[in-house]
Amino acid sequence: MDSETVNYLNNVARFLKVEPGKIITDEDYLLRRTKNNSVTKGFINIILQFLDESQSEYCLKHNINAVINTQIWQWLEYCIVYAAQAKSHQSIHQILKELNAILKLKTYLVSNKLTIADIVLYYILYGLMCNLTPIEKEVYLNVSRWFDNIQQDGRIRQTNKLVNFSCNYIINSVASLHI
Amino acid sequence: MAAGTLYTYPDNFRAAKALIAAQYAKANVTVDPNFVLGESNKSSDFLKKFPSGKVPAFEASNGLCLQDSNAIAYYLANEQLRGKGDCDKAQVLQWIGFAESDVLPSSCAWIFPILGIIKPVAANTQEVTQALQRAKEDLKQALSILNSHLLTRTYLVGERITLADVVVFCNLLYAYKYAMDPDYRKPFVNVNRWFVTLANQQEFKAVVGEVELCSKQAQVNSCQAGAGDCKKKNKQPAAKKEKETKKEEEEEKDAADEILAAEPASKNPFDSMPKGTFVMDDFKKSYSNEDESVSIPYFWEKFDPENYSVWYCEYKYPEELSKVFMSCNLITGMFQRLDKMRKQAFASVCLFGEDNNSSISGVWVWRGHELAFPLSPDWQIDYESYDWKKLDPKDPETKKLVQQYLSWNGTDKAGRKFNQGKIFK
Repeated sequence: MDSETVNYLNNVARFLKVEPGKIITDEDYLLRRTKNNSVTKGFINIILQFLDESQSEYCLKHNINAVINTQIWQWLEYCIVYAAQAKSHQSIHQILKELNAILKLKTYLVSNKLTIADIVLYYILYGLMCNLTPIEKEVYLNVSRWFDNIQQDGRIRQTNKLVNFSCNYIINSVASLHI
Repeated sequence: MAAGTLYTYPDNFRAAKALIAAQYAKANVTVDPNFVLGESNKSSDFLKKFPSGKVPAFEASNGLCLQDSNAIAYYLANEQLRGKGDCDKAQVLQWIGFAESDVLPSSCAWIFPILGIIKPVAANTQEVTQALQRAKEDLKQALSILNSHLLTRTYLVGERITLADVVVFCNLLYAYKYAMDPDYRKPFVNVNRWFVTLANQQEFKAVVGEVELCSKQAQVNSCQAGAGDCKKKNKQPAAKKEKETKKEEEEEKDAADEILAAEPASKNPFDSMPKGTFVMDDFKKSYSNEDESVSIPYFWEKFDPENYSVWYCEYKYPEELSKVFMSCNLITGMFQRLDKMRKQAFASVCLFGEDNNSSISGVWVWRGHELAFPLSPDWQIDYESYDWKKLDPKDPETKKLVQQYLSWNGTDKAGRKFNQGKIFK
């Protein structure tokens, strides 16, 4: 675990408008949140605690359907185990390929509406999406579409920039080469 | 905030646009529960407010009267639905136009015969199958445009749900529910994704309920909706041929023309029967304006058993009835085709039960002692789909039946609860 993961959690906390407390990676490389002298360990546990504190619409207890909660949990696990660990070129493209196939048939990861799983995945993929070339963005079109939809919400985006998905990009740059 | 009353018949996809918009804007809209299609919207009061007499129509609490579903939806919508900024607003308008001109005509051409809204007069003739084929192709074209637009976008305009989505969704709703089978819609992955996402939004669900995508294409010929019509086709090929040779040279004429053309020639078959003492119109007036506790005793007091008869009918194929509104279309469709009987007949036909478990039966009164339908070729379309039983007006059981059907309560033979009734008058 590195400082990036801590940043993701701070982003989520800011989005949910909760006090993040002190989040560090401890000597066992485990995430540890200390707030009001109580300690919570682990990425998913910390997010669930944020949700509980926020009382927002994203709280899992608002979902009557247990399947939906399980799926959200599963995606949070995917986020931390796979997406957040994708550093090499190969693993990044593996992740994008998987997501692209899934998002072909879905608008959001779980249950046709925006959930905390989409939001966490947005923070994790942000750096990676910024670095994609226009052609790669087109290859992973379904991921791009999903990402573009999520990033339109200023409360989610916070200080992140809008990643450009405009198809005119190539046309414009090509034109400028010929002037 | 906008508030008011919406006039519409149930399950109207056009009214759904306004109701979904109202869900998003939390506008306070009530649907008039007393609205009866073909009556309320023909009254002079209604026509004063809404000259075309079309529904949905909306009367705001501040007195504003609006027609056209898209205008009503726009009025009831919020900032987000109308589009933020002029660019988005213009695009929303563009998609509403697309929904009306590119989606609606072809989806209606395909759907209306299935739902029984249009009588599939000659579902097997070449012209009709060609028209249907063309509607399917046209709809494919509209869906391809949508599909490529939604390839890079989650919603039609501005990455958030707008009226554009609401309107296109509603215009496609019945096609997705009843016509476009998985094979047909397979190429349009992005449209499907978009449609399912919308259908699962809380605000949409509140209006259109759970949307089950069509698994097998409903057939016009499967006798589901226009049951009476196709039975006629099967049983009377000779009569039909005759008609066809008659209009050999005017093949271009559509069904409506055909019916209109036939009208002046036919006389009212009831004219040959003695009038009797029972005045149908007076009873109908009493039934419409007064409580059943007054009108039913009035009926028995005035009833003339010498010249009039009471009948009980029951639909022969209850197992074929699926959606309640389709069955209601079946009843009202029959009433329409029997239009010329209206003056000398009265009926209350009721639907019992719910979707996929229902039955149709009713009580009829008309002049004469024989089954009235064979008297005119125009009336023979539906009656063979029903079992007819003549009732003895002196029998107390008959009184009970009449009481039940005229006051719209009770259950059918299998114990299904009364769902809704239609009056032929």
